[in-house]
Amino acid sequence: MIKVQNLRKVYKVGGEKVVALDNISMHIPPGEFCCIVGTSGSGKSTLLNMLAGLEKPTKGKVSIAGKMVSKMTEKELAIFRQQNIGFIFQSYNLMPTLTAVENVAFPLMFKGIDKKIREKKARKMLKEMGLGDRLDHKPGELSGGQQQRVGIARAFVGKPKVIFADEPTGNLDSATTEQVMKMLLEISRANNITFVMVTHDPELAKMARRVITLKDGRIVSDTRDGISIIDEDLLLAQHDETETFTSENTEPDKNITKEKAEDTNDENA
Amino acid sequence: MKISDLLRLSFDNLKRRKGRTFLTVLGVIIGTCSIVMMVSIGVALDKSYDDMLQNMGDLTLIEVYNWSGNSDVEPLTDEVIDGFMAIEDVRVATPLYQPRYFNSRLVSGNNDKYRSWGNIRGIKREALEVYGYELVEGRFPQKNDKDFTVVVGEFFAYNFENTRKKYPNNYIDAIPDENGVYPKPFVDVFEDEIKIQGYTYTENGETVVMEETLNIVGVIKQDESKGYETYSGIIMDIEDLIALEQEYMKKNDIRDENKGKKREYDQALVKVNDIDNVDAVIETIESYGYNTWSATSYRNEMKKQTQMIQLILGGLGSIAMLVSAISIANTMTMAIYERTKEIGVMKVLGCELKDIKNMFLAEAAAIGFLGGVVGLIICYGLSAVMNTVGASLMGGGDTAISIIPLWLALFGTGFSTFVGIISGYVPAVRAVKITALSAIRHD
Repeated sequence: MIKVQNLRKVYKVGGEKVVALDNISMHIPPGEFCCIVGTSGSGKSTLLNMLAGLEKPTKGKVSIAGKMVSKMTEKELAIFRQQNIGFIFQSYNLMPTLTAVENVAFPLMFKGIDKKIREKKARKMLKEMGLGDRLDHKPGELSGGQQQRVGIARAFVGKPKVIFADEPTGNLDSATTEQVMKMLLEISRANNITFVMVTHDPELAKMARRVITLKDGRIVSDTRDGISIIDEDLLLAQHDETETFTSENTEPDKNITKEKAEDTNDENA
Repeated sequence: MKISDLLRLSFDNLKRRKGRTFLTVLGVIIGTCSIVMMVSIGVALDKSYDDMLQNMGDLTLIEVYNWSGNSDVEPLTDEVIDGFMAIEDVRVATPLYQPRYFNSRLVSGNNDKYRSWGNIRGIKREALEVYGYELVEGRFPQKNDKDFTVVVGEFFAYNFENTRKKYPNNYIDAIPDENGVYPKPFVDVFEDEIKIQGYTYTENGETVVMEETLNIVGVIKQDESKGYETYSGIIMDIEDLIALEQEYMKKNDIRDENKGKKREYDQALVKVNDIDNVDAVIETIESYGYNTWSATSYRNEMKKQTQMIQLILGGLGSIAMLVSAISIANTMTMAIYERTKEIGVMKVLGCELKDIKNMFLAEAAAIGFLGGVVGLIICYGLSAVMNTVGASLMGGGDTAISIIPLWLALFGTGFSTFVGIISGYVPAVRAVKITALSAIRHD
């Protein structure tokens, strides 16, 4: 479902270059629940943004369902997201003026679905998620956990091919976190939706079948059911490069001038 | 995205910031008012000029002459004048005949003691009514009336002198008393026999050579725009008048230069159905080689002037509109800054770029439209107040100071909506450029 090839992302901060992601390749098959884990600054959020087409990679390719997301224009991306992608935010990002039902129906409105039909679907979705008594409440009148469930309902209501979630439990307490996580696993399995989620919590990530661990912008482990699926040699090679990369990072002015120029060109393009 | 959803979203957003929306709409209201009021003053000015011109001369009347001296241009014969009738929008064309040789006077009473010198105008009998004469009393001559059936000017009767009395009692003036009642003139145009006499001067004084009795059937209202004949003249069928003159010439042995030739007239009158068609008719007639005169020639000059004034007034009015356009742009830009995250979220959720743009354009257009409609309602109020106050200041004249015709009302609201869309365009394009990433970043 999702294919990533040699992904690289370089940010320019001031005059300096920061390599956020480097040499990322992976394949997530349809229906898989995948967690991308890493500490803050590991590049996990950047990776998610690029998978969802919110950011353009400096190098490399991302494709979803056979479509080259990394090459799409803004216009094409909007339509692609409308048809194929759901998104769950850390800070919920519900529309403050809309009720729970209207919020869940929001993405269906962009698809041009009739108000009656889309709100019927939204109501059904919210009831399934145990929010049957909160249908006409505005986000301000809901708890964090309830708001995130509305956010989840919004992502799932259109039955997209892929859902991306950026720290969906980041603002929730541990009890609610577990509840929400179980819910995510359950619904995506039931609907056979490919689910990609970013978290900083390795314990939480363990609940997923597929876990990709990122460190300093590189994949350091990729496991399915706890078994590594990375070629050991490749992993080794990556480790070597990681060290080079780290030293590069600490001494940015040393012998990378040529590469720098190359990257800058890419970024501008 | 459906248009209904788009509009609902836009209105919800406007409602969310009621105070700011109100202030921006207020700006548009002021802008619309200033433009509409300024233009309405210009329109009223234009109208008052038109009214003024209406008094100067009948605006739908064209006088036609043949001054060219060019032998290629046919003289104004009956055929040519009948030809003018065929021109589009012409209601009637008639030759105008003023006798050249005919010395005449009007007499009435015993021994012709009441005498008058009437100005006689000859036009086609069937043209009388169309020509625009207004009856005060009686009727217009009909086709089967006998010869010398005429209508006379409103004060025709007061022009008679009693030759037996000395000044100042020989005339009765057409001046009403304090009750508005006119004094009774010496002659009654319907009851008394009034004759027209042709005379010559001999050693013995005036000698009457011929005489006809007039059959007066109507009195027409005085109308300066038509001519002096409406005051105290006689309007006679052109054939009757020519017959009178011919008889007079025969009696006095005056040779007719045009004998045997087609009759030629010095002047013809063409009446057009509407002011706005006059120019086109003039153009057609002039293309035949004739000269014309019409009160509209003044009108066109004045139109140019009022258009200039209107332009200046409108320009002054648009300054306020410009300011309100800037305020709309400002409001929309503010709204976009505030809603950056929201727009990002919408993009992530799959809202298409054109929908985002249209949403903001709809908001800006709604501000413009709302301001336009409310502004227009206020304008109608202002206009009414100005006209009432203005009328009392100017001593009850019916000249309006401000007129808002339908086209101005439509233009006012249309323009304010248009200004809204234009001012909203740049912010809307900016909203489209907000990256989806800001949904995550902008906390």
